[in-house]
Amino acid sequence: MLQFNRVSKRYPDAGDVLSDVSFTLERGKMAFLTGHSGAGKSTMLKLIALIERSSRGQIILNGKNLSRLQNREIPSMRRNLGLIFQDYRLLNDRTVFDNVALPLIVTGHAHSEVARRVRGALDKVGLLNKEKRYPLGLSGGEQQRVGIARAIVNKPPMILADEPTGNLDPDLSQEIMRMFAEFNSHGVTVLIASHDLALIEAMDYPVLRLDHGRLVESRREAESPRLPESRREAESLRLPESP
Amino acid sequence: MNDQRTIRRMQQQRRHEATRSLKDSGLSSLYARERKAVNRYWATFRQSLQGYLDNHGHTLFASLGRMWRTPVATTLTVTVIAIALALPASFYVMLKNLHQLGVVLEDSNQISLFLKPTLSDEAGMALADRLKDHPGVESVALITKEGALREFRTYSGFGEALDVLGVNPLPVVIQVRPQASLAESHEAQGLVKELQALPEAEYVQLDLQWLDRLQALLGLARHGITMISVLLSLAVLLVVSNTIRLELENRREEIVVAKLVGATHGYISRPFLYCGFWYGFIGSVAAWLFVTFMTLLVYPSVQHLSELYARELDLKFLGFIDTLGLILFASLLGVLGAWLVLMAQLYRMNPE
Repeated sequence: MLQFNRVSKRYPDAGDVLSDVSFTLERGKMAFLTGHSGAGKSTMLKLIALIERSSRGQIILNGKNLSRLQNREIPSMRRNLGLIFQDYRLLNDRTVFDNVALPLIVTGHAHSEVARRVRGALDKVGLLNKEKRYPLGLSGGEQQRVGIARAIVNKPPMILADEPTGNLDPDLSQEIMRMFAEFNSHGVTVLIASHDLALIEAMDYPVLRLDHGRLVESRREAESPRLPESRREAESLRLPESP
Repeated sequence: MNDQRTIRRMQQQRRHEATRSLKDSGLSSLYARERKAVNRYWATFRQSLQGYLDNHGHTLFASLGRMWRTPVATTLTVTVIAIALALPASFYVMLKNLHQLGVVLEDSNQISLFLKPTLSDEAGMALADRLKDHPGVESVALITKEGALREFRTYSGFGEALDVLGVNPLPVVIQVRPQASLAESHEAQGLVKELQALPEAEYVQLDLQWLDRLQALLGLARHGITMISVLLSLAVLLVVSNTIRLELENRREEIVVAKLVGATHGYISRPFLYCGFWYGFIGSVAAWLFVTFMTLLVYPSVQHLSELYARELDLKFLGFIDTLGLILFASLLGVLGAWLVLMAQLYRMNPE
């Protein structure tokens, strides 16, 4: 599904933000991406979402080499990704319904289908009764759920979340994380960048840790009773041998 | 023998029919499957077409609605566009009317034959009768001394001066219209010479030169209007561009989010292109209203003028084809103005 091959990203004024990062995330798996702030978590997600381009190395997503992708192919690649942000990135002058409908509208779905699928997505995040509200009238947790509904409404095979619980209290954070786990159990590949170590440890998924732009380890934070499956998950997330 | 042949033929026929119906049923089921596939294809095609049309129709009116929600800004922009368009359009209408006036005057290139002041109306009438039979003359009209006096009093403003004079100093005038074949000025000159040779003639006047000058002036004006039109079209383009640029800046956040969820540049551009179209369209309709209103304002003066020339001058408005052309051209300019800005700006608005 997603493969990084010796990827580096250099900014002219900040030097290498990512250097020589390699890993593979297989289809239908879920993983956390962690590290101190400024370690390059966000940059990595931006490279996958084609918000930034890598300076060196290749990123392969759905069998496509992202560094060779033309600019006009970016929209169709992004339609296969559900993006979730720390600051939600909702349009505050539009209702919850319109916000969630946006990915369907831009891909030209007929109105009848849009309504059906938006309500489906809102139902999944438990906001069906708030479709006519505006984002600023909702709590932080609710706004993030709107963001999640928008990310899943066109049923993308992969979800990328950048600090999705960064602005939420622990209870809400856990609820959001459970939601991601549920999507993953339906076969969606999920990659979550987070520095909330307690939350990550409480969940049973592989972890990629970045330190100053280098991938330092891939480990399991917690042992789980479902050991055989966990091992398979650990294997699904491969790191190359260190030289 | 015959019976057997008949039976055999019947049997063959029946077998043939049987195989044919078998083939038919096979084919028809195949066709049914194909038809179903085609139907399915059509259904998805119809659905995506429906989505596409939904989007276009929605965007077309949503962009109009967005303009409606900022009435002051929209009115200002539309007015500026309308004025920029109305200026060359009204010049054009003026030119059309002047041209028409020129044609009317040229058509009336008559020769005024002023008789010697001592000659009476009766002598004038006799001369007019003679001239009527001249081969180069189309028609003649006699202005008697009294008639000339009346006209002079009405239009010159020197009526009281005449009262002081006590006698009518105005001569009898015969207005001679040459044959159409003499319309060219140099041919009319021959007739003028002939009239001048008449013993009754005091003075003969054929004034075509000023008409030539009018034509030359109109030609010059036409060039001037073309240049003004080009400049003002450029102004319309820039006004639309600038308005759309501000609108893009205002909606930057929305554009970025749309890009994040996979919107193409085409999709993002659409409302702005429609917005440019609306500016051009509404601006040109307003320009048409301006021009028509201004034309109506000069209507009384034109009527007065047509009374002076004793002729029906019908006032020319901006015609149907001209109006259609104006609206189409302005709408296109609007779309072009929006497109130029989008080309320059949209590629720079990316998520961070």
